[in-house]
Amino acid sequence: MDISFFSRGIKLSRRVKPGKIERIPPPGRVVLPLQQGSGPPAEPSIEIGEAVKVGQTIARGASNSGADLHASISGEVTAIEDLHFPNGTTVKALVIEGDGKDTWVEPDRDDKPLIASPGELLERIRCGGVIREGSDTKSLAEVIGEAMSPRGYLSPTGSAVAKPVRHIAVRFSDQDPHLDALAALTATIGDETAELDLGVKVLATITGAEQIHFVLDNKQEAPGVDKLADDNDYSVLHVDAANYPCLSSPMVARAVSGKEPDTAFKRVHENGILVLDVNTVLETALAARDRRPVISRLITVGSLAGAGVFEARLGTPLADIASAAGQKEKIGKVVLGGPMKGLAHHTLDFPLTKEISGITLFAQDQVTMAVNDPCVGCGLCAMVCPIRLTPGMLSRYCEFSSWDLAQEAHLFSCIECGCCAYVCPAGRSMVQFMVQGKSELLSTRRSES
Amino acid sequence: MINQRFVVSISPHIKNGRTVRRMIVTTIAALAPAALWGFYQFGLDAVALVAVGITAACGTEALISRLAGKSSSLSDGHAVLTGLVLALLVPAGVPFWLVIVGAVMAILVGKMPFGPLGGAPIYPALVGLLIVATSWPNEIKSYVQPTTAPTELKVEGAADAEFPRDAVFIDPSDEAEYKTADLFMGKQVGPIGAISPLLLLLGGLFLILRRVARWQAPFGFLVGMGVAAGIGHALDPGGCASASFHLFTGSAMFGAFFLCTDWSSTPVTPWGMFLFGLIGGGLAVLLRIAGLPYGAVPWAIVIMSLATPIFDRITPTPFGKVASHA
Repeated sequence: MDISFFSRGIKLSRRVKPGKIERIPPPGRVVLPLQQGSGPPAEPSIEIGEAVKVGQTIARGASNSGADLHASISGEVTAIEDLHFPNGTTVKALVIEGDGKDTWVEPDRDDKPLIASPGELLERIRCGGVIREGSDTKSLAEVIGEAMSPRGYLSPTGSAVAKPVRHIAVRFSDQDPHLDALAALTATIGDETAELDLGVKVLATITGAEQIHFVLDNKQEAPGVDKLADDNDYSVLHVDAANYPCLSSPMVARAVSGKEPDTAFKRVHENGILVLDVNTVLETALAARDRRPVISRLITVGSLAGAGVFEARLGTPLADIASAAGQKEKIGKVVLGGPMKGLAHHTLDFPLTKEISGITLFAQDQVTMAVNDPCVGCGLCAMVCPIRLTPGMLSRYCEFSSWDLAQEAHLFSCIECGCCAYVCPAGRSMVQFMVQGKSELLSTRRSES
Repeated sequence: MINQRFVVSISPHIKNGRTVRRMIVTTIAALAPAALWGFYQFGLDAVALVAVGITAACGTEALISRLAGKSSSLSDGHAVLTGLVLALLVPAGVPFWLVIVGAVMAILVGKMPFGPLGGAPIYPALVGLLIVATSWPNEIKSYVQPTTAPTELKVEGAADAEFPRDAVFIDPSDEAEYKTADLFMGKQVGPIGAISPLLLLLGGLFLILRRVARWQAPFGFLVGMGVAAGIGHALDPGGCASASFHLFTGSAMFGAFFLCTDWSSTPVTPWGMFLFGLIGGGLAVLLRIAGLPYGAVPWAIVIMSLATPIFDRITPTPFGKVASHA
């Protein structure tokens, strides 16, 4: 089944062949923020001045499901400093000065991880520092832990209702067609699917998922993945990833389950569908089998001049990655992530974190300023909205502070994909209005309760 | 590089480059073939009327912008479009002052009081057109014999003819004299830009393919007119012409593709647009039969525009929500 036939969305250009993955050597100094995803920050478990090896735990996840943080180079922890995040918050970050030796901690391999109990596997994922990135980036252990111990959902009869994970869908291509790190990673998997196989089985063991789905772009050829799916009776879906946002979690969830999940409050996985990226699955396998933590990240560095896929250690300054990617023009804008959903940051003096799936660089003359003219009522946004909202009307509600009307018009279902702003002839910052409306409504609700 | 500060904004960071100005230019381009056909059929008078209409509309907008102390919005091309549509909807024989008054009224009453583009509840050109059509009911019917007409058209006896009143001035018994193909190819009497259903259809399809207009409202309008006329013709062949006659005469095609697809005065939701067109088409046929002196299609669309906020409430069920029948 091809979901792009049903989805609305927009057509974006996509490169047919992903580039080769280039490795950026470990930097001399890394900065590792304690904040990982939306939860509380991790707590440092080492002292300043302590020597660390690659892969050594340097901060423990908050609560019993937060992801751990590990040293990505060997050297000495020299400081805890403040780091300004692009979302406006300031968090603490550990600084490691490298010794240039790149010595690893002793491996602790378990050749039969599937014998371990689900709880043990979940703990290994947490200790491995695996993050699930998406609209609500969180520790993977927290996401699938929720499925194991249901929160207090009450059915009409008063008893707690479990919300088990029934489907796991694995994405082999980035949501944003301008990024191709996942496609490049899929190309390197080739026929060696042992880790992919293990990762999927670990996740299925923990969550009890009945069905596994592999979601690929229809231009991707991955015979190894196809064979693995064939051997294990997983389903394989091909979608046209250029038809943005058909690889977003709600659209993938509809494609695999045939039902549309409610998108309000980002709760797609509560409908029993867990959508993960292939790199997360591979990280899970490594964490469960080799107890190897996440210390590096695959990212797309894109600019209008070209793009490349790089693997770099966490904490590597983005400026180093940009110069390794050969960025020479004068940069006017830096976006962490793809151009459709990424966060703009005011500086390249920021480390690579687990949440960053790509860097998109715009030259100074490519930066467009928001116009924000009044809505002309042309209806293009309503035509492309994959959630079937009427974004033009919603933006007007939010523009004139009619928050209640916006909520009635299903503002919270908006997935902030940006299709409406992409097509808006009046140049309105549609996503800005939506996000502002949501935060106004949430803060009102908080102050009332 | 480290200390450089970059531009920060919310996502998305790319756009498809579409602007209001471009969409209006596309609309004007889609109207061009029908306008050129009108020029061919009605000669230099038609060209002059269109030029006067555009000039009057632009001049009024520039003047009001200046008086109101606002920056001029002429560059988006909407004043040009308004003047053009107005001039294309009047017959080639009307006096110049009529078009000037219409264009001034369109901008002064129909557009500027409602603020920037996108505020007008009724298509501004229709406001101007209906003001002059109602004020000077005889002048507005100054139909001119086209260059290529299939048969001798009774332009002289126009005022006595009964129907369809905003279209060709013939009576029902004359319908047989006109081949549907001739009407479709634009060999008929009518407003300057509205006599060629073929070229208007092509222009409308161009707009839809360019994603400037949606197909629902035009489709609904044509279906509404066709069904209403079909029923009327079946019930009373002497009082109501056939569906194809209704669809290919007057400003039916023009209305379907260029008036029903306006931005601010028509709905934006799929079912809203379709129902808007469907009911509007039925209403247009009803107004023609019931005997409006002039402009059944413009009147029908104006009336429907007033109901646009109601049609805009027919929103699709959002993704993942259960359909409610509230």
